Amino acid sequence: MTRILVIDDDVELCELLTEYLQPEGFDVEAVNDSRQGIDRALSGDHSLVVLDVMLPKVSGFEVLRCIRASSRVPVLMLTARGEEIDRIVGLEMGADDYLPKPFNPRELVARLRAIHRRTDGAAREAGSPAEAEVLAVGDLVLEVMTRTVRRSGKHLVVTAAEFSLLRELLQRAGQVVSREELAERVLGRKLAVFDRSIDVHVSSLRKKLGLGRDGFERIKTIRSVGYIYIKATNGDD
Amino acid sequence: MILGGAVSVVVMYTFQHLSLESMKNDVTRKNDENLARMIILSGQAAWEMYLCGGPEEYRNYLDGLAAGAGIRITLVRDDNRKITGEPLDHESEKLAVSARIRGDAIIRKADENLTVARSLTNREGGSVVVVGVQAFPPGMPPPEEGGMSFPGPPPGMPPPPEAGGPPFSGGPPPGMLPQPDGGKLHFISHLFPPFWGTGEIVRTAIMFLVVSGVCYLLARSLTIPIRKLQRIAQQIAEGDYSVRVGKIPGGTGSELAALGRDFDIMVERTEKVIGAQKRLLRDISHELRSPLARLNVALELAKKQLNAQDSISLNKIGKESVRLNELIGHLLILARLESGAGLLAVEEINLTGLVREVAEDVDFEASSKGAGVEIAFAQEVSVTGSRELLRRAIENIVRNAAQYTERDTLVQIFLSAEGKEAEIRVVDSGTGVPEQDLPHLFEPFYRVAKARERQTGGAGIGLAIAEQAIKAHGGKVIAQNGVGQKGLVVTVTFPRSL
Repeated sequence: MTRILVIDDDVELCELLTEYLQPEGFDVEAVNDSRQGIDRALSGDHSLVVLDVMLPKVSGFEVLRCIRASSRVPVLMLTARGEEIDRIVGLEMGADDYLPKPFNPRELVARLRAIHRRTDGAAREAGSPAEAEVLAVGDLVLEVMTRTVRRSGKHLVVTAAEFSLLRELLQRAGQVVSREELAERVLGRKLAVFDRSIDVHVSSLRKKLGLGRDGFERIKTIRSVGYIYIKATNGDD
Repeated sequence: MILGGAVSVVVMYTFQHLSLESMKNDVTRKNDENLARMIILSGQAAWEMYLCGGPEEYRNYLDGLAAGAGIRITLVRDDNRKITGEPLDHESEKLAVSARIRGDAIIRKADENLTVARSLTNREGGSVVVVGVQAFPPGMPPPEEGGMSFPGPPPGMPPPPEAGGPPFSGGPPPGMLPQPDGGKLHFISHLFPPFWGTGEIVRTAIMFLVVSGVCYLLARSLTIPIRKLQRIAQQIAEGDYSVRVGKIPGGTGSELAALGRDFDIMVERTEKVIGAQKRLLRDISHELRSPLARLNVALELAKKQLNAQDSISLNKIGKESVRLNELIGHLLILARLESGAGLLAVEEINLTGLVREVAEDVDFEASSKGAGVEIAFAQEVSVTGSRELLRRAIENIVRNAAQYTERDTLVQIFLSAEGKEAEIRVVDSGTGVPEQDLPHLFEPFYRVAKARERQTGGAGIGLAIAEQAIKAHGGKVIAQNGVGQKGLVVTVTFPRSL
């Protein structure tokens, strides 16, 4: 059973979700209050958090900010449909994925599984020595086992989604990786028409990584194709 | 502002230089009118004098008038003799007769003489014609305003009955007759001696400098607050309602300061209204969607529990729920667009690529009814705006066309760039729209009566969203029936990025 925390003020929806998700292999703890939600999310009891943006008193964004201040637990945001800005802000603040509300619960299950696969899979990989890979490109070092990213030895804090994204790009540094491929491998789903998740994750990642040694963006956009991690041509260091 | 000063100097100079002639003429005419009025008034006074004081007083008054002001007055009886009974000269008789017929003042100007004639009546019903001549004998100074040694009517005299009706009110005086002897306004030269002497030029130059300095300061004191207002207004136009005008330089009592205060009050109200509307939209979005969210989960639960994944009726509920949710979404988008909240996430968009995507998607949808969508012509065009909104707008128009085009026909899209504009033309082969319905096609939930019966739900708001979204991008959309062929032609134009 995967323990998940649902933070949503809609009590009835929480009950229905608990009932629906239980047989799917999710042990649901529902919290209807923001402050309590923050406390529970930081308890470390859950492997996933489902967070509604439209919470009374303390908004979902504020809750996310508090969680991200000290925890990297994967967070899926439930946003209002059509509020593009909510999705972007949510992802920029470190949410791993989002789902517009109202949603089809089957879609929710698919997203939850994708996120879980990503984090759980990484943990399993870390367990086996063969997967204990270390990717080093230029001054950047990504360690799969400890899920850490270091730039010139300095530790960088990245979210689970950003970590997976960077890993995909570094594994094929110097090659273009298409947005679709990134979406499938990082988010575990296909991109819808207006889905800018990958672009937002790349954007936050760029901010965290900073410019390369030559003063250029490390991750370059290849218009209407995808992204490429620029490999320094004049050798490493 | 220096420019403003310079302009005002130039304007003043041109004004002085060019309109001097017309000004002189104007002043001369006015002067003549005043003089004529004075002569008639003197005549009235003389008559009054004659009636009350007798011929002796009357003659004394007239002599004084002639000596002091050069005005010779003659009062003419109805039998065309002087009031004293003496015979009249021929010229005065003619004037008296004309004045009686006209009932109005006659003013004649010949050489240096101004001749005035006017018929007068008093309360007792008596009548008389005043004939007065103002002559400027050589050596006599020309009359100056207010400087005339003129006895005028004696004080305390009741105003004559006709003095109330101004004889020359506005426009060219009615009595100004064409001058048969071609008498020109010669005494212009007396009124305006040449004054462009050296001293005058210096004086005028100093005046211009002072005037331009004053103009400069005035312009400055006006433009600074106006610029501030303009800057604030621009910020508000860009959607920032938090800005305020505050204090305006130039004192709190000025009209501009009052305008600034009113402006701030207006912005405050607008900010509140827009804030309230945004909150309302979010609340509606939340309140309407929460039940839908529960409905969706409950529906999937029911399917699972009843083991009825393929239940037609349950799937129908699911479909209607999706449709309802879309409708709420569309209403919210429309409300947001209509509130003028502006565009979110503006970016550079490859319009050609966007139109291709839409065409492919809708072509796929339309293939089920044997119709299709093709791009008949496409140029490479980019625009700046919201990708999501633009796509939605174009998609709604193309989808509408695909819905109404006939079986086995193609919806054609023409994309072109001309000058600063991008144009998208969507042409279908349907039955078109009755002319009277065309102007309403983009109104929310407007239904064209028979010709375009709605076949599926969710219609009726797509075109309204399209229009609002296009408007938000500074463009416009027009629907026309095709010329010489059936079907509707929807033309979208917006500014392209160059």
